[in-house]
Amino acid sequence: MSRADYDVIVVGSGPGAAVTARALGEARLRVLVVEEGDWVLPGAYDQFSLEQMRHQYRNRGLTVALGRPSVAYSEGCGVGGGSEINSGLYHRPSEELLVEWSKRWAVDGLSATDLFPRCRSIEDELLVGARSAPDPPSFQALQGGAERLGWQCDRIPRWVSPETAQAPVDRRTMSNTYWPAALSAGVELLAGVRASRLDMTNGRVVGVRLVDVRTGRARTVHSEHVFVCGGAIQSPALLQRSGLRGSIGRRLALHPTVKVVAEFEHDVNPPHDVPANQVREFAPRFTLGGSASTPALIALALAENWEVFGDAARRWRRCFVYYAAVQGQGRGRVRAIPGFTAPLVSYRLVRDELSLLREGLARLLEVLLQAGARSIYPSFSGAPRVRSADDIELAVRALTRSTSNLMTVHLCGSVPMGEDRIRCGSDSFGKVHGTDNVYVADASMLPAAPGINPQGTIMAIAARNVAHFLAGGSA
Amino acid sequence: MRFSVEVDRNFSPGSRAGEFAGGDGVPRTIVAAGRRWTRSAVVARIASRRAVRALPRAVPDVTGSELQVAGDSVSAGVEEMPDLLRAGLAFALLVTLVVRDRRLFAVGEAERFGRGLALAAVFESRAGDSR
Repeated sequence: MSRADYDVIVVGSGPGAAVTARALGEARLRVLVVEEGDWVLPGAYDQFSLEQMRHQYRNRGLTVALGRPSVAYSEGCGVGGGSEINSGLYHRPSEELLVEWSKRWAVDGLSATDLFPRCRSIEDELLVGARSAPDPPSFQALQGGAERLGWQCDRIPRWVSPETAQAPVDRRTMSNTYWPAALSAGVELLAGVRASRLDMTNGRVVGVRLVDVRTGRARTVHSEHVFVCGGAIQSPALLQRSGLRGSIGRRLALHPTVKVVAEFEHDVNPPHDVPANQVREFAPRFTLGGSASTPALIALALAENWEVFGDAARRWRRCFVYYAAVQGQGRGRVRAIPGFTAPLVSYRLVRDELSLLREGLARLLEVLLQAGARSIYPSFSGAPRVRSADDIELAVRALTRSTSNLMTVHLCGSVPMGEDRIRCGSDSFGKVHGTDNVYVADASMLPAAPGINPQGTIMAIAARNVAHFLAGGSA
Repeated sequence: MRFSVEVDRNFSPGSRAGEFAGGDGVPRTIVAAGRRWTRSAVVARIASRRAVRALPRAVPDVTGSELQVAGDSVSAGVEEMPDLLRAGLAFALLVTLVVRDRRLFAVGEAERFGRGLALAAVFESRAGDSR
């Protein structure tokens, strides 16, 4: 028996952590999971409400990657992480994407043959599929607009059943799937506890400094191995605070997203759900879809031009927020700053990305006009109201670095996997380069922005990596 | 909120690390901290006052209780924002006391932030009333 308190400490409890901890627990290892937020069961708060943001988002969702332009982002915080708050849209990574990552980043063992069996098991666990409830009007609008233009518009499988008159939203999140199974397997989980630092000696972690977020009490817990699963922002920040540098936090990738509010002649807005379809005619370069559209979020989207657009907020039932999300090509950084808990996050949007955002905006306006929107309010300062195809060019020209109001919910790539030590922060199976026993298993290990909702990809790669770990690390 | 949430923190009675946070699986509830005059509370109060002051022009029929909700929301938002960003916001607000040029030092960004939060709080409150 080793002197360590645990065989493995898992920091964070999002999808990557849940898959990892459950597998470790079922292998009879002594596992402790620490999560900074609370355990809130699905349905406790109205989906996408400010109340939910207060309890289940990090910093109430008020976080930003600085740059020109800055990019607002949000992270889940609580047991289950992002799976508790996202839209539940599932994508299996394409074979082409896996081939590209394998070649470009020198990642071993990442073919479709390696990964798809893992994907299938996750899909079964989360009951991923098309749901039987009727499609909301926001879905039908996008579908109709795309059909009129002859564009591909896909129904995206989900692990969420939308709210109906008879039943509330039914979500298969980590907190009601993987975590109960992990706890049954003997995994210990502490919520409200933050990992502030890893104690490292000669490339080996020997303990994790834990802080009770409410009392401030601190204690070091010893462990043979550590899996860092705090997400693409928190994971590199923790590694940096622990003295690990190299290619950590230098290649943050994301999907920059521009939004518009579309107003229709009739009610289209079920405020606590999003349409489960996306225009993928232009994928993976950019994707068009519908976003959370509570009255508060509609007001927020209109706030950039409130004097001109604000009146539409009163008609929120007829309004819905749609987006164009582009596959990021720029590069961000995460830097731990001494004296501050939060890291400094920055993102440099490249010229091609801005062009792509403009193209995405033009296509989005086009499809929404075809969908029957009577007015469209782009969510960036100085944008004109769009009522016809003649207004599209003006709106696109108004989108510049200084006016744009970008956001993202998909952050990744800050500790990318791969055998190229110059560019990659971790090896092909998530072990942090330069360490013997520190691993990442979350969005930070993805080599680049995948161009799809990433939760399924993160879970499948985490399952592959923990299987590799349990097999003794042999290829 | 549909129902109140009992917050358990230690889901593993008998945990080796458990006595440090929660202890023996005993559920704990969050107790709201009393108002303190910390630096962040002062910044929150200034940001909140400014956002609320501008609200009647943006939403002419805003009520007193909605102003209260908006002010509380901005204040809580500032107190819970990342400490690094809050330090930047404090600097921007400080600059407005001595420099009137709002193009400087991200003052515009700080004002946008407060206005967005205040508007969101007002319309969330209205939707709750009409549901």
